[in-house]
Amino acid sequence: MNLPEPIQHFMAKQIERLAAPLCIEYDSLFCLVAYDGPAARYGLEHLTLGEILPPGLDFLQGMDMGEPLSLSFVTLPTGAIAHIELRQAEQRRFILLFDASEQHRLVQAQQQQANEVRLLSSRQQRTLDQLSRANAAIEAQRNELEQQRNELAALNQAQARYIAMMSHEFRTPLNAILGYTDLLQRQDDPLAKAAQRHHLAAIRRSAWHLSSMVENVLEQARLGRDQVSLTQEPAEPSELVMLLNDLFQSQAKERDIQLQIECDENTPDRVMLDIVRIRQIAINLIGNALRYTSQGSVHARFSYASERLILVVQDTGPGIPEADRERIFRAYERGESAPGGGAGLGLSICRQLAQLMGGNLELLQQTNNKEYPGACFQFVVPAPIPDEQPLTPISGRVLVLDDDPDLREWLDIVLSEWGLQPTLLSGIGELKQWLREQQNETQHKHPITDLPITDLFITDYLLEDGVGVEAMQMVRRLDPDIPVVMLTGSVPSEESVRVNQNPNFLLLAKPISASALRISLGKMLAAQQQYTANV
Amino acid sequence: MLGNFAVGKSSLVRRFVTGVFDASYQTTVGVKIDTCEVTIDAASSQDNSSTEATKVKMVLWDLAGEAELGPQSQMYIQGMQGYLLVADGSRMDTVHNAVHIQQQVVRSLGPRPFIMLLNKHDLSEQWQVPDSWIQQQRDLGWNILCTSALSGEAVPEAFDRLARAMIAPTAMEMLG
Ligand SMILES: Nc1nc2c(ncn2[C@@H]2O[C@H](COP(=O)(O)OP(=O)(O)OP(=O)(O)O)[C@@H](O)[C@H]2O)c(=O)[nH]1
Ligand SMILES: [Mg+2]
Repeated sequence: MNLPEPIQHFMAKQIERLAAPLCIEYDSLFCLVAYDGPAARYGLEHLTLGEILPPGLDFLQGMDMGEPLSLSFVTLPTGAIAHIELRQAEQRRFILLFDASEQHRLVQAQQQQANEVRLLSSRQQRTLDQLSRANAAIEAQRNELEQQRNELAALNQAQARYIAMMSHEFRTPLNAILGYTDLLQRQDDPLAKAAQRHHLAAIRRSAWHLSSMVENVLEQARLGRDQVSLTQEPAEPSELVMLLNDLFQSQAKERDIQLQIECDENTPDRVMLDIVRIRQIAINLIGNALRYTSQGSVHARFSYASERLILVVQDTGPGIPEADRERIFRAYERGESAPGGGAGLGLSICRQLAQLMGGNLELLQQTNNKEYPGACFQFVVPAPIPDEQPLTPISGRVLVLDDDPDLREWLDIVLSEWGLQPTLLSGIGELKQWLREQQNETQHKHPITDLPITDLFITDYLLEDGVGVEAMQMVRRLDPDIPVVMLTGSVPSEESVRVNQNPNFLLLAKPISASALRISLGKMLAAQQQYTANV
Repeated sequence: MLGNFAVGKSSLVRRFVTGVFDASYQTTVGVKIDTCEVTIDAASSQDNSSTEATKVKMVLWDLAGEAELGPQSQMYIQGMQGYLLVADGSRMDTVHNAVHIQQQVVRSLGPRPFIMLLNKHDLSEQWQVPDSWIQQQRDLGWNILCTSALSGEAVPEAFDRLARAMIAPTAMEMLG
């Protein structure tokens, strides 16, 4: 466009006014060749031709000038703000400066606002994150508390119901025991033998009933703490049937209920079982059946299939309503239709025990008999056939330490029967005394004999004046190889379970079965003799 | 001075050059040029032959912060001989931005000596950089300082180290 001279002049003036261009030419050594424009505007008052670039521009020294370079919004050390262009043309180098202060002000305000907003929102986001994390934690804690509270309330309720039931349950057999004992004491007439037998049977029944309830309570506590330790030992199902008949027949007769407890012919004579637990479960199942049946019959039948012992208990009671079929297996619960007492723990414990032993306890489908629907429970438990050698005769001296005179007497009888020579002691005090005597004797009579003080040591776990472990240590201090059998009525502690791994040590739970004791003693004494023979 | 916005680049320069700190935020537009002189005493100088203290004059280019180097910043870094890579230790994202910026520099200029500064170390409650992260970068050869323009912590040291690295960059400090 060919502009008239006044317009050109005007435009040049405007550009000068708005952009204040300053043009500086310099050589390859950064020395000033010439300049044109308002140098003072950029704080560059002292531009001297032939001299090196002044302090305000010396930052450009060393810049590679091969390429044109545009630097916008440069705040110079002088404080001036410029757009700077570095250009080369016709072998000459130029620095062009344009005033950018006004534009800088505007952009600064914009950028300031934008950055502050970004900072704020990132800070806000962080606060929100923290808040939501805190909220989530609080929420989780509240849910947990709420759940704990509900569980506690439910448990409390169930426990209160349970305690009320239990106290009634405990009192009934206790009354019977006390009553019949009174009667027996008053019976001077030697002809009253038959009556005595009847009273004794009643006492025995009540005692068993009490004992099984106590077992139930203890077992529940153990299950709750995962402390159940199961054993497997040879046992005779027919013996169990006999015991159950003993316990329940007279009660059934009194109530005019036909009770049949039997064992299929295919059941082996001896199988491996945790007999204490199996007995507990059978007593619970048959006891329940009798309790819930007011007329008709109860039929309990043991059978055996694929290495499993099966017990089916069928009654002609009211049956279990559909709604209760699962509930009856929960702790402290029992069917609504339960007549009178009955500790709800029974079925829940039985099922837990059955499952722990690798078996199960189920309620089978009801029959269609409307009049006597009845309930039918099936209990199944693995019961392998033991590979047993016939019992070898045993002999030796046995030291017995127990504070219960009855148990001491019983052990005296059975141990003597088996051909052993028992020495009976009642507590730690007596044991100390006895050990001292043994030592004196050894020193005086046979100073060099190697004979152990005893061949085997049987001690109660909890004594009136100490604990069995202490007694065991005292005996083993004199002779570290003596086999020890510890009898315990309490929940085995972790410590005792640990020592149980030792072949020279056996923990036997009360009530003690004579046959189990006999087998264990046989093994331990044989191992001991083998050991001393080798030494 | 490279790094995202508001990490404290200008504050570090101001603290070093004039010894003051300003809590108010004035964002930098474009680039602000400053000069300073760092004296490296002979005893600790890498150049063992010189017995005198060495004076290093540095021209500081304090750039406007960005998450990554834009076209304008690419212009500003032409001729750059070393840099302080600044991040805000209370904003972990700015730390990741710094790592990215370092890679951009290597791509456009090749390796240049740099020191990484995790600034605002005084904000210990809001500190977000795990020690494990710092260790991991140091294992890669990075020279890292925790600084505070507010308290002055490690600020002279930052410029001192950079000056040394620019005079006689070790392989580590050139790392890229
Ligand atoms: N607490 C604390 N605040 C700091 C520190 N350094 C800088 N600040 C604050 O952080 C904000 C940003 O600081 P500047 O130095 O402007 O940050 P910048 O990196 O130059 O920011 P741009 O120029 O936008 O890229 C200001 O409010 C400073 O006061 C520090 O070490 N500690
Ligand atoms: Mg800044």
